Amino acid sequence: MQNRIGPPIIQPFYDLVKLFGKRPMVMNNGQIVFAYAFLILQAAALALLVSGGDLLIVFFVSGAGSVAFVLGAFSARSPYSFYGSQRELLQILAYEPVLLLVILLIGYDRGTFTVSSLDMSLLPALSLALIALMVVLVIKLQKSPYDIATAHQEIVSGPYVEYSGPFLGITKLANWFEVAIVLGIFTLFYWNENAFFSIGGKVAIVAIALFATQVLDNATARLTRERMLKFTLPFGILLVALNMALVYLSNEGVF
Amino acid sequence: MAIPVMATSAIVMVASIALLLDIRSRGVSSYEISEAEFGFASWVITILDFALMLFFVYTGFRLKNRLAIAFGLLQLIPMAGLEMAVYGQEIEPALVIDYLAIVMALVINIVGSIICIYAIKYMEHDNAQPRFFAIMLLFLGAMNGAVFANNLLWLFFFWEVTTLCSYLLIGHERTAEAKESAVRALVYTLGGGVALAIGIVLLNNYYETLSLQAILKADMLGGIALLPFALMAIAAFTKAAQVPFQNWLLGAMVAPTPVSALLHSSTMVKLGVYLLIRMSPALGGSTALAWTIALVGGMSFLATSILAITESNAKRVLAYSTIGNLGLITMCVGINTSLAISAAIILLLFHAVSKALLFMCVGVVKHETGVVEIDAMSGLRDRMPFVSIAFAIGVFTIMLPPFGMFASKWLISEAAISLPLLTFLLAMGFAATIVYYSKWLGRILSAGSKANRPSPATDPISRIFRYTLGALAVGAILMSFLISWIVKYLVNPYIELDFGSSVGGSGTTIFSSLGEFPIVVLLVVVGAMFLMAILFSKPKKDELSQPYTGGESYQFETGGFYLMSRLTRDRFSGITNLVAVVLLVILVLIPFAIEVGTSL
Repeated sequence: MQNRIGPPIIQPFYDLVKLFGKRPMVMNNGQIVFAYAFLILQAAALALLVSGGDLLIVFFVSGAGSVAFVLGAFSARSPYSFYGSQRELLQILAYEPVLLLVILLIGYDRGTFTVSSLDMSLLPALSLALIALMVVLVIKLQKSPYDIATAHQEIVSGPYVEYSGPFLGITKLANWFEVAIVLGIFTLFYWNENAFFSIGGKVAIVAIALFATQVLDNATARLTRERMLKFTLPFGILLVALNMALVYLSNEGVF
Repeated sequence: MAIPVMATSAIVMVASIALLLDIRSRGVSSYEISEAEFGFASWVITILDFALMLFFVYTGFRLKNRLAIAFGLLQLIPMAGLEMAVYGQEIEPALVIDYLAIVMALVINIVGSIICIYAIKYMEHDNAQPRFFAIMLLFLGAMNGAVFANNLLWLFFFWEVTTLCSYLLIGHERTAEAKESAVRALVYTLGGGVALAIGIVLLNNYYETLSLQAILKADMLGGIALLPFALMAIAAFTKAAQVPFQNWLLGAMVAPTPVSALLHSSTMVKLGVYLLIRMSPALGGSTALAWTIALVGGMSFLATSILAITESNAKRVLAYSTIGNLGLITMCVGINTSLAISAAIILLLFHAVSKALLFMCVGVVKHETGVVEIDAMSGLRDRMPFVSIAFAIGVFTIMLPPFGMFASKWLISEAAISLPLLTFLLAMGFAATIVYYSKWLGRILSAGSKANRPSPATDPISRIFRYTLGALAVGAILMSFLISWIVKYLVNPYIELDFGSSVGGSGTTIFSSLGEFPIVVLLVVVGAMFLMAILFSKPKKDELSQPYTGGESYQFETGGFYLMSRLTRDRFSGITNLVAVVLLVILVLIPFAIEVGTSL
């Protein structure tokens, strides 16, 4: 595009390695402790998801990780960090109900929350929930129109502003885990007895979801905080509610 | 004052634990104590009961409060009629001690006593200490009586004593605001007492006994015979400050902090949810009734969680949080499955410890600095590190995994899918809870650069504060490790009686029919790494930075975030109350509707 060569696709990994090699600079140890807590909790949640644990626990542990991140950002008394963490909390208010409802819907539909005993594609029954999940992914990836907490032009990357060097690296890595958890939930929507098809289908879902967020990111401008809340919550909740009604009706044998 | 209060506290603590050990060693699920063993005590209770109701009527006249007079008389008349109707009749057994009662007794006597000890320091400059501590201990006594009582007349008496105690304690400071709040609390809870009195009269009418145990074991009568349960649920809602009765508990915040801690964690409001859990086996008879109760609970949880975001006064935020958590318990009772009732009891237990801890932290801050506004607590970590850590533990154990209270939230989420409408209230309420607690804790933990911090702060708080806060903080964490034993030895013995147990514990994991929660593994992994991070994260001097302010001056103030304007907030609570009133009307109408439906 525009006759220029962009950075390679694995540039974020190079950045991360470089961050870990830098000299640490922080304001106080609260920041460090909560950065580690953010990483540990997200890693634990991801490990639970991969090992086929309870989806609700994965959700709540990952949620605790997000709280740790917010507290880490609050720990440094700095205006941008402060506003960033307030906005981060608003984002939590916007996506957490939707994510939890999707998970509860999975449990309602399948009668279990244990990942290892989900052996059916969720897609046919829960396609509307998948769309609701897109909003969550966009927020977790910090993409437009929902890059509200980390808005560079307004509040200089918000909650990340007082982190640098290896600790910035830790928070970035934790954020990747966070995204991986949401993508992991995306992969549950496809399953096939043939392992090859199963993996192919899962990869396809993730690829489509990521591509869609890129398109959204490039096609939209950042929303205000209020509009994020007023749009995402009703949108996500309505989709899940519709989907839940459909599941209920099909359980009752209406169709 | 210190020695008698401490001695009494120690005795009741030991006694409640002895009770648990006793029932375990007998290997029974409950035991009964006959009225005969009390001799003339039952006469004393009857006489005191009427004296109390007359006192309420008298207080109503003294305050020139028509509602209080009306509520007082409306209790007095049905109860007098009932006493005459059952005169000479033996109501056996007088007390039933089962595991639910023991869980309550442990909460009341251990947490309640710790609060009383804490109050010794907190109230040291008060002019009316003997009166204050006498009422506090009477409160604990009345709570014990209420949870052990099987004779409904006794239950009613102890219920009314808690009303009296809360009225006296809320008005303790004798300011105009305190008096107003005390009267409000009195009117609300007396109203609940009326519902309870009429409920008891109707129960005697339909089931021809006043033994709670016999009523709950009886074949359930449908239709209009459900009305007493609806009325008792309303009585429970007033005690537990569920919507639309939440105002008295918010007003009660003018009381000294130990009183708030007591009202919120181990007494008063817990009596309301105790009654709901107690009558939960009877609610299985009508899904419509149970679901309406679940909706009231769900509404209470969601509405107060959102309102808590808009609140800047620390004690009021905690009050909303209490109402919300009790809402969850109410919701569980309404869902009425084994899973839900287990979740309710676990929540009741863990909430008591964490909420007492949070109130006591706020109390210490108020006692030492006079600050009650959240925004003014900014940077408390530097000034009062011990309290800040205790507060952080309180917040973590109340809302975050892998601590004990979270286990009940997990079970509630699972239980809620049997009534999908509730999941929406639940999901939004959880997120709002995270927002209001995080922004508050963030305020407290907020600190400037270590480079320009003065010499390490020493916490000026007294030993009593330190020990009581420390005991609850350690207790809250320890209980999380022991949760599978708590489930096995405290919760399940009660659940098995009526529902069949659905939650199991195997030492390191607790599991339900729908999933499993490796709680101890998570606690150990997360805890160990967190501790390592704290111990090994001492930044060197040359690694300290200054906050980035875009080149502006370093001095700045940050405002809080409260989601709604005052106007929107008032409108929001108005709508909530309206919906709640409609739900209560439906609750009372359901028995009539069923009656009409079946007779047609």
